[in-house]
Amino acid sequence: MGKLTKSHMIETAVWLLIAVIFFGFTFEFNQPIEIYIFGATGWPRVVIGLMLIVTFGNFYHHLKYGSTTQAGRVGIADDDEVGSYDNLAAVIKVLAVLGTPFLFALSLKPVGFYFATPFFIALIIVIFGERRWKWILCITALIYGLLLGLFMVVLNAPLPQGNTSPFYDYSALILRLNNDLQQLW
Amino acid sequence: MKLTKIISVTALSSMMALSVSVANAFECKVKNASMAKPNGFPDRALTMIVPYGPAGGSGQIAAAMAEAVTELTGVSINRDHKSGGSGTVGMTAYMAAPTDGYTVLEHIDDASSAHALDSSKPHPGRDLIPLVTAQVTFSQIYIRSNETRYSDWPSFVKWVKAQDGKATIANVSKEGSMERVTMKFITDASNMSIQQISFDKGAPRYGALLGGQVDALYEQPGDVRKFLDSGDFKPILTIFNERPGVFADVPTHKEMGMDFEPLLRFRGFYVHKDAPADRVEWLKWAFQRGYCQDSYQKFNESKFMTVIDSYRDTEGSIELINATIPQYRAVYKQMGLDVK
Amino acid sequence: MIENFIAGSSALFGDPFTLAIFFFGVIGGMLFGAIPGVSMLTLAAILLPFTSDLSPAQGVMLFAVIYCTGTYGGAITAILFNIPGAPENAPTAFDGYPMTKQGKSGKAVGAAVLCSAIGGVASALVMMAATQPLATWAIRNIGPPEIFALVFFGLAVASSVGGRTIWKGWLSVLLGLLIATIGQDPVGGINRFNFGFADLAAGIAFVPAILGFFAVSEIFVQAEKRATGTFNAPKVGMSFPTLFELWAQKIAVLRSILVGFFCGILPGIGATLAAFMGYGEAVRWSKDKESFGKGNIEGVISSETANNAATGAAMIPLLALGLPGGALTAMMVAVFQMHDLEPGPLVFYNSPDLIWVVFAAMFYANLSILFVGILETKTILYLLKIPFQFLAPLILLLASIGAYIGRGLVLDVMVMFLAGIIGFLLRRSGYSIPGIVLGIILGKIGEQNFAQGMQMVHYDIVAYLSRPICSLLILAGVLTLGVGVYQALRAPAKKA
Repeated sequence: MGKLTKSHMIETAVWLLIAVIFFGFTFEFNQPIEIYIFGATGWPRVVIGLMLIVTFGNFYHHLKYGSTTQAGRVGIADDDEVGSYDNLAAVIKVLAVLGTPFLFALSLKPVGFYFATPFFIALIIVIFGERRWKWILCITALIYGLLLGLFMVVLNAPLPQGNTSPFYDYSALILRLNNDLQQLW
Repeated sequence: MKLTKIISVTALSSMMALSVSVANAFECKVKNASMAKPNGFPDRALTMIVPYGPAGGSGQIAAAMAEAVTELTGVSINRDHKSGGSGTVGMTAYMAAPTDGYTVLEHIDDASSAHALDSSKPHPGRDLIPLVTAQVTFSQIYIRSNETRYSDWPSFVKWVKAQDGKATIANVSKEGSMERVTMKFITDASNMSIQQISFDKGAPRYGALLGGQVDALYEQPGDVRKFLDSGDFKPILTIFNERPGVFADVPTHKEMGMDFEPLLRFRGFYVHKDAPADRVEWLKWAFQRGYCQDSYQKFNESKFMTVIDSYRDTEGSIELINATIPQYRAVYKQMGLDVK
Repeated sequence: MIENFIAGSSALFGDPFTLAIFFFGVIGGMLFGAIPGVSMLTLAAILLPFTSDLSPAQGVMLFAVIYCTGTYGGAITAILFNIPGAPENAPTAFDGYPMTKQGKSGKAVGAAVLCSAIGGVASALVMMAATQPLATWAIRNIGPPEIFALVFFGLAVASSVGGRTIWKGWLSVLLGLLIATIGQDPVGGINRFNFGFADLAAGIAFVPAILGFFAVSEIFVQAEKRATGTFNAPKVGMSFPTLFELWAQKIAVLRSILVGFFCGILPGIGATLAAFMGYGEAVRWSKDKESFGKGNIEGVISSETANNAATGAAMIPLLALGLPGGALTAMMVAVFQMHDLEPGPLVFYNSPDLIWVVFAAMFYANLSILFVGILETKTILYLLKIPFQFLAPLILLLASIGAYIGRGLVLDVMVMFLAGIIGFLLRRSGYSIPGIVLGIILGKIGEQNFAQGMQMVHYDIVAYLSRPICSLLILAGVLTLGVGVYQALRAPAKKA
């Protein structure tokens, strides 16, 4: 087995899986284009094929040299003191950090930016370890105010308003207040 | 340097001549210069969803119309460009937005052809209410002005046939689009074979003709106006039933023996059919009267959009859409596409 | 030329409002470039609707200034936080961030300030002299086959830097290329890899990908370090490089100016490729290749000189032909059009004053990096003192807005966070994040130009390669690739 470790095997399996899944999906749009002989699938399939070849090269390197860096490589930007995940709290914390932004993104369509944002700010502050509730409230208000001031009042940026009641009505209220505010000058 | 100056002077004078004739011809169809806001609507800025980027034809008309409506009513309009998927992504987002009349949509004839191909997609004349169609235009075939191998449509066709399928023309990159369908009509009717090169963005498409990478270009006149004014491009075929005044010396496809109904490019503004009726009436007035604003008319003129009648009110727009959809559907069936 | 330049300068400095816009652009570009999470593109996208209230010269000038100073501003976050403000700053982080960790952030920032200014000013000068003749040359000689060849060469270079092995370098680039195929194909507009989500028809835009891979994943890494107790605060040092240190790098600067200018002039590729190639060439010619990626100041210098040298060059196809080279220059087209103007050959005849105000403004903007840049950097360094639990939500939200604003799609915010998670997982495994990003950016351009080139030559490879510039670039790419594979198979590996 050479210098192969379990993580090398997983790595290779993930690349193979990506290649297989994407190749499978190319059959969904495998229709000819009248003016182009390679069609819509030509290019992605070549990319997938190359990916397969390079995956084997990567596997060969792992087999022969393990995780070592190839000589003459430059600009490798990994800083890898990997932390220890021996306590459950750390694992949960990292998972929460990874998951919360995604939930926020999911909420943007139905709930909208204006309503979801303060909750998101407070949640992130808490997850990152702040426990003094006065600080949490103040900083949440500060960041929310800063963002609204810059992007809504000054720049009128079209941010997601949500499309379900009562969240949309909240966005409408905020925007109407903004409108009234802007009428003042 | 001298030549360019002469060309620009000529272009300028023809532009001025054009604007005079338009100024004489233009008459606003909406008589009321003002209209009371129904129950205070709108009391905040409107949002206009534009399913294309800010730099293209749709982005520009959206900007011009928003400016005109704001000038007229004092209500500001925030443009929300949701580009991608040839206009489908913006349409989907619009259909999911609340139907209180605060969100309006800009869209082009692609919405009609998308519905023709797949009837589960929104019908722009039924699922939406057209507020106004503010641009209607035709297509042309262009060559470089300094081209020596051919100089007009008959000599172009002759040259293309001699190349045995190796001549090239730059076109858009969407199968079933107005541009690609029309090119099919043209090649079938004139019995020639030409390689279409697909460009999804305008600038590289024009650059390809300018730099001699392709032999001809399919486009609408407003989009290549700068190259026409500079004297770099010249039209050799107009795909329209009659010769528009500014292009009086360019033959139409019918004159060149091609018997098909031209497909038009049109851009307009819509609101969801479930929006409250009084608000819809106000929006119709604002957008139709906005069309009459000087700033909007000036914009349309600069885009060659006053060459043929660009204006359709709600009923006129529905007529245009209802005529367009079956036309595309018939073509798609003939092309063997999977019409749903 | 001198008279025109003086006329442009006096128009710029003669009107207080124009001058105010100039300074707004200088500061705004630097700030948005230097605040982790947003970029100059965010600012530009938001400002676009407001330019209709400005005169055409003011509007175009504002965007040109933001372009110059934003390209520099992005280097600050790359060096201090390992978050490049824009893809063209990615190679700056290769050596810039290690320098910060060694307490040499001041030297890195100082080098970035000086080299951005030098690269930008040099390129502004060439731009003024050469816009017209160069544009004419490029439009006749650079077609789709040449652009594809350049993309190929660029990707070959990108794969040879950044990853732990050439295999990982290429896997990163190929992943980017695969992601770029999501959405509609560039020839027939056929939907690919939708996986049942209608919004995916819009494809994966590069702005959210960049924000996710660079900004969000960095936040995740910091969070993990706090959670698992391996966090070390970066040392802040403000000792600037000595003149002697910089003089020693004159060849690197000169080389990067040339590379940056050449890449910047080509439509659609621009500053990102310039930075990667500038960095790659620095490594290629260096006697001490091993020191790159570990805090070699030459890495920062090469990449920062090249990307600012590309800014002036990118204006050439835009102003002379109306062909934008990247996202920001595409927005400038919109600014022109909002004022009933079209960038293109006629601009030089119809509005020479506008052109020269813009040229003059770009010259001074690059020069001002030198003065305002140093002041601003000292302010930005205070960001490092804000407790991270308060900085993190701000960066995440700014990034969300930055991702959303470009196309107005919530999809883009999701893509950004997903990219953040992927980046977080890939960072420690020796893959190249900048490689993935470059793959995403160049994938669509590459496929489209390959298709166009093939259609043009009727699928005749011989005819394709008989175009001299095209075959030269393909050859260069193949050589780069070949050397990499040879090293991977033959040369002994060293310990990580």
